Amino acid sequence: MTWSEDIGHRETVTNLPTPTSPPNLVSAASLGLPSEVLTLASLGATVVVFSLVWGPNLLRSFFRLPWPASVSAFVATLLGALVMWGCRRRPGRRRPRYWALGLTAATGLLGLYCLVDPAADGAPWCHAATLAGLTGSLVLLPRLIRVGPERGWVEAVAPVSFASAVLFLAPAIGFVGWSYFHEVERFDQAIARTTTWGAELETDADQARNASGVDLADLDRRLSRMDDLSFEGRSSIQSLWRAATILGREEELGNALTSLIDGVVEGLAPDVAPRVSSLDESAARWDPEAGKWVTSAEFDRMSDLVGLYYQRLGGLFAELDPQRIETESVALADYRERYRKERETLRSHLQTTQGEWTDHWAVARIPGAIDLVGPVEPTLAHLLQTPLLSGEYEALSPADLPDLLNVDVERARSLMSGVPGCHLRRYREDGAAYERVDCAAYSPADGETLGADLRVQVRLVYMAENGANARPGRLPHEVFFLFPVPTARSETDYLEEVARAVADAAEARWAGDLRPLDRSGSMLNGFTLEGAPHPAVVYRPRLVRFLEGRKAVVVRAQRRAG
Amino acid sequence: MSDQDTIQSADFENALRSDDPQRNASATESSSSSRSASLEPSQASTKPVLSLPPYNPREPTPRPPRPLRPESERDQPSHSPADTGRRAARETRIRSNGDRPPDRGDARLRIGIVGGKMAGKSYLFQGMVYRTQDGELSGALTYFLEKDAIELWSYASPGDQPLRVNLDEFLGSYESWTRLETTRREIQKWYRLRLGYRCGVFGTRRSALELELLDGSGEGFFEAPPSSENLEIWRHGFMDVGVMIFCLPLWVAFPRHDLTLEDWEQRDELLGDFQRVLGNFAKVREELDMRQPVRSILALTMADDGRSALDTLRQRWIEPYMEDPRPILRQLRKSAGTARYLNNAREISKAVREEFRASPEARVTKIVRQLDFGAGTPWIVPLSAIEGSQLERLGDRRDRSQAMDRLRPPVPVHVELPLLVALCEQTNALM
Repeated sequence: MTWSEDIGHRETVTNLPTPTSPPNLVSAASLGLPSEVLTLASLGATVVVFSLVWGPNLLRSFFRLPWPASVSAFVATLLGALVMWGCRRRPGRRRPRYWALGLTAATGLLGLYCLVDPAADGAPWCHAATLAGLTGSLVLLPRLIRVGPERGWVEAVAPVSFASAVLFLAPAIGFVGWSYFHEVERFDQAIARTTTWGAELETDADQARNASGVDLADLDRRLSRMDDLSFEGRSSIQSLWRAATILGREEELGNALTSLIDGVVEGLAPDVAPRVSSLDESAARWDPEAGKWVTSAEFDRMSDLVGLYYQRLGGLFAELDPQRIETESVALADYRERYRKERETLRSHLQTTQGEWTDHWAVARIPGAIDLVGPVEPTLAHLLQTPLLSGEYEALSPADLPDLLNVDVERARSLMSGVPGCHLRRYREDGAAYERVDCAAYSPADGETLGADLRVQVRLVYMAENGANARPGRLPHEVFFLFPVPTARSETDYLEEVARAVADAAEARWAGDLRPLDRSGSMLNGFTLEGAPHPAVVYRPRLVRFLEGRKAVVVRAQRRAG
Repeated sequence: MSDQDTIQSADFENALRSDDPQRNASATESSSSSRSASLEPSQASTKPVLSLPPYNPREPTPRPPRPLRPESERDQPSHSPADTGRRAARETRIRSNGDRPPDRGDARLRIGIVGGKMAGKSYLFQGMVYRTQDGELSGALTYFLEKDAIELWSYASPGDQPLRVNLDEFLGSYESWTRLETTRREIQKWYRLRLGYRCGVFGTRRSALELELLDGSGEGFFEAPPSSENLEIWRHGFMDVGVMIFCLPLWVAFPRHDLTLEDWEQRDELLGDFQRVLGNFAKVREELDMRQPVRSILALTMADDGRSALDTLRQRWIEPYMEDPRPILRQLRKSAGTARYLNNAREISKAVREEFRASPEARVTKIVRQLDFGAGTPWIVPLSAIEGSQLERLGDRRDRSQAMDRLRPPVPVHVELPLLVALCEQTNALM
């Protein structure tokens, strides 16, 4: 071996390619230069995403991104413009330039179209197209990366970009599709549920009309059934109409909702809705044996159920309001008209209930009732002028004291026994026998309960003879008023308010003169109702003990002697 | 091919002189050739080329006037009777290109070629001009370059008016397998090859890749210690280049063990020259405060030379191209072909880098490191500008013209690859 053999080079790498050797399987070099392959990948991703979204019938009907389609379109335009601008100085053929230009122009025009036509902005095809365009632009973004030719991974950029875009978006699209599949299911269920609710309310209304008395268990069952009676959240009336519009099932939804509205309004009709006046007892009574006032558990339960009933049906009626629905269609226009008419019917029903002495309180439990019927809680003076009875004695209110003091016991028995909220009672007190008619009025209870509190109790008291019964033709011994002091009010203030309300109401109803009972000149210390044929005297209000340490204001009225 | 730079081609010189009448008188006379004989004296001395204003890299170059080549000259017959038709067709394209004033556009890439004496710079440049003259046959550059947007300019020294060079005349010596003489210091000349490409959002704007070559004495300039005179030339030619091509014969880096003593001596000399060029470039960068990174490409010239120990490389990378370039050029017209070619070139570059590491000589192994001028490790391109053995044979023949009639033109192998790498590097063309 010579010195030259030592210094001569020995070839070490012999696994060499020829100029045309094909690349290995995972290389994208066989497809083209990265700019071309990225263009192909962008085109492919656009097509793939659009096909994924637009292919299945379900998605075609329902696909909608959580943001407006114009947003996707303009983001895609921005990205496309960025790629165009970033690559403007590069040599190469026109395909990559024209694709970036075309994609940018197409998404830009689509965005403008969505802005001009809001209906298109919400259309599934528009959402699908803009998402596809956005994907295409995203896949092109790696073109902005500066990569020298010595980097072998440059060939992997396009496949990775394509795969990441499609692999990321495919599950997302699948998820959206799955969500919308459930949306359809939810729509079908909502239609079925709405139809069932409507039918059940109609049936309940018929049963309520034919019922002879109150059935607390039945009412409880009906209310339990209404637990899921709601159109909130994803099942809101707006969502349902949007789904119906996309699915072309607006008429079906309109019919279902109309039947439900009918049932709701029917359920709140005065002769259908449950009422506390149907109970045989009032919220509180005097227990002569125990010598104290006691509450009625049955009344509390009943009033809670009644309050809940009004709240549920009233809330449901408010949820069915088509005012917030943005789309327009013939079916929706019909539905709007139907809702408007039913609203008037409901207003009429509630006004009737609101005019009732015993049950007017329940109207206040309806959400937004004030918009329908105005102030829902009358003043005491106004309440005292509310008629006690319907029919022949429609105008007879607690404030008609002279008239009340001239209702004989037989007429009182015959009239009051069938009147809701008034109860005939016989009792003995201090060795004397009495017969009386109690009529109670209520107000919505304070606190979390939906029930009612006693506001006023009016009694027509007759002296009984021969043991328990009052003699026929006997006139009332007195008219007795009991006003429990509300928990949040001071007793003296309320005493004065009651005195003023009684005087005001009596003055409003009495055609004759009112004179103070003493020389103070104030009606608050009692007054007389002067004038033929039935003068009466109203004594000064006083405080008595009531339930659980509370006080009540008592007012008594009697015929004026001679 | 062992010493192709040692003999200067008469054709080449005549073509240069015909481009620059002022230099005709002072240029060294060489033997006459068929190509030079075909030029009328009046044509050669009056309007053979276009003129450009002095080049200033910081200012956009103004448009040169329209080419004024007379119609009679355009119809001159081809210098090689064997390929008259092909050349005529090409001339038509060149003429139409010449009618269009150059527009440099807003992006320009400048590349320099340096190397020691007999490193093959001139042949490499000729090979590049030859390969890119036809847009359809530009190899890996076909995808990027605008068709027939090649221009060649020359000027004698920095600050001179650049003159348009007729491509056919310039390539005459190359196509006729004429050996080039060692360039002498007093006749050095600057060449600027300008390859146009389309860019812009719509692909309607034009820009160009410019390759700057000082066709001068490697010994007298690149290898000489930087002086005040040299520095000015370095500054002018290579101050703002983004890519520098360094030429070194492949066999010098990787010699076979059975070289003759003469070859070993020549190898030592060439390797030393290359080291001096590298050292001078580094020193000039420092002296001129050139802080911008320069991507270096190591062009391992004469890769077909049998004195190289890398037989597999020659057999796999050089010979298939040299023996039949048509399928490769056809494949390289397409994007996929270019991508595949670039992929293979990358593998070759890596493999040769491994060979450098495996070299028993420290002065060879350190070359790769020395070529890092702030832009990373160099791209290594084994190439062949002209088939050396054929050139050798033809040089021995007495009646060259008869032999040439039966010869095909030279096949420059991978000479466009440095340009492709530079283009991708500077314009991010791949993406």
